[in-house]
Amino acid sequence: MKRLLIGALATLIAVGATATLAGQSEDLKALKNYMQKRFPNVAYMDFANGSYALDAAKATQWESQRDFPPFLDHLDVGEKIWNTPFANGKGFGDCFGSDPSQVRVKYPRWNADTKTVETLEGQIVACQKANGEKPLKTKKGKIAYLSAWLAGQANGQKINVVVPQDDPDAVAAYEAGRKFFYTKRGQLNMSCADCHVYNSGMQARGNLLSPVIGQVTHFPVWRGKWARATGGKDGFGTLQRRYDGCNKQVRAKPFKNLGVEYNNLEYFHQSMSNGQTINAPDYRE
Amino acid sequence: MNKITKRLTRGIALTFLIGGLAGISTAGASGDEAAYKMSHEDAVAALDMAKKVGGEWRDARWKKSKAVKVKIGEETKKMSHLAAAEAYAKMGDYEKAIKHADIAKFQGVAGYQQAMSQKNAGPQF
Repeated sequence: MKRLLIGALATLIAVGATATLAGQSEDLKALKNYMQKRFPNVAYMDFANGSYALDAAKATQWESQRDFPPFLDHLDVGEKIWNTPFANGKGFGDCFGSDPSQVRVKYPRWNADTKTVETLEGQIVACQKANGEKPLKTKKGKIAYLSAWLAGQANGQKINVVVPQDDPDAVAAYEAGRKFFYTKRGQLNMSCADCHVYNSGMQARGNLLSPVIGQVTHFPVWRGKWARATGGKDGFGTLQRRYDGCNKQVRAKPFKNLGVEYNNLEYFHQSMSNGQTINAPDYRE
Repeated sequence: MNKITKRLTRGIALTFLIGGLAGISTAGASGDEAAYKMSHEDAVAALDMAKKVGGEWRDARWKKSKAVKVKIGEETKKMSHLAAAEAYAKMGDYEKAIKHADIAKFQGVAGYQQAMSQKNAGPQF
């Protein structure tokens, strides 16, 4: 009888795990179908180019920006940060491995020991703390330069966020991120999906709303808007800086950077670009 | 009997009217302050409820909000509604303080209700 019960329980767990696996892959499949119906003339892999894949005139402007990327000096700073040893003689390579081209693709990922989602920027900070260094600020500045340089090293590789199907906590984190994405919030009562799913390709004032698929491939991103705020000196920002901005735009109180809400959101958000090619850093309006 | 009832009713109404007027006149500044404190407490309670469910709005009490311009001395500062309520209360302008505390409270209640309505949020396609 005991064996029967254990067997039944194991079967239930296995079925549940399969269902959650189906959750992630089904979510992506459903989104992919929706976007391909919405934008029948856009090749699936071109979604990595965001709104520029939807509008030829904007794409021309964007390509001219890319001829002279404004962020090359910042990438040099990022590389220098990577190569500068800590006071204890160790370096980022001791935390992430010596091949910088293999770092970006590992994140975000689930840490089964801490039961949390790890993001690249979060791990940069954790690495610094573990080595007695003063951690970088988390949304912009040097952390974005380093993260952008690492992303650039990974160009051409595919995003592949894994949600371990046998870990209910990992699935719960993914589901929390998914719920965040579809939850209306703030005084304007809008969700991430309202702009980047249901109204993607539409104008919001002067901006063309980008589809959710492929959004993360080019982060950290250099935004013209952010650059203008610093007199053109620094337009870099991390993905979670963008979350912050989106939440503020719908008049919701933003959540803590690298906190559990945004980390879970990033887990879901990045996994909805699984299969897309990293093309970072890049310019956006 | 009818006359007596009428007189009694008038007397009672008059008593209430006088009492009410006296209440208003004696309330004065301290009454405004008490009303503000109540509004402020209500606002904080509502915002705490919204916070618990991740539903706080940007301009209710977020420290970096720039929703309300308040002239403090020679300076004009931008702040959230709750901070504006506190600033006006400090200046003794309880009418404006209550107005902004009430807006903060409304946003707290609305943020909580919004979050509750989104419990089962998911894709709609």
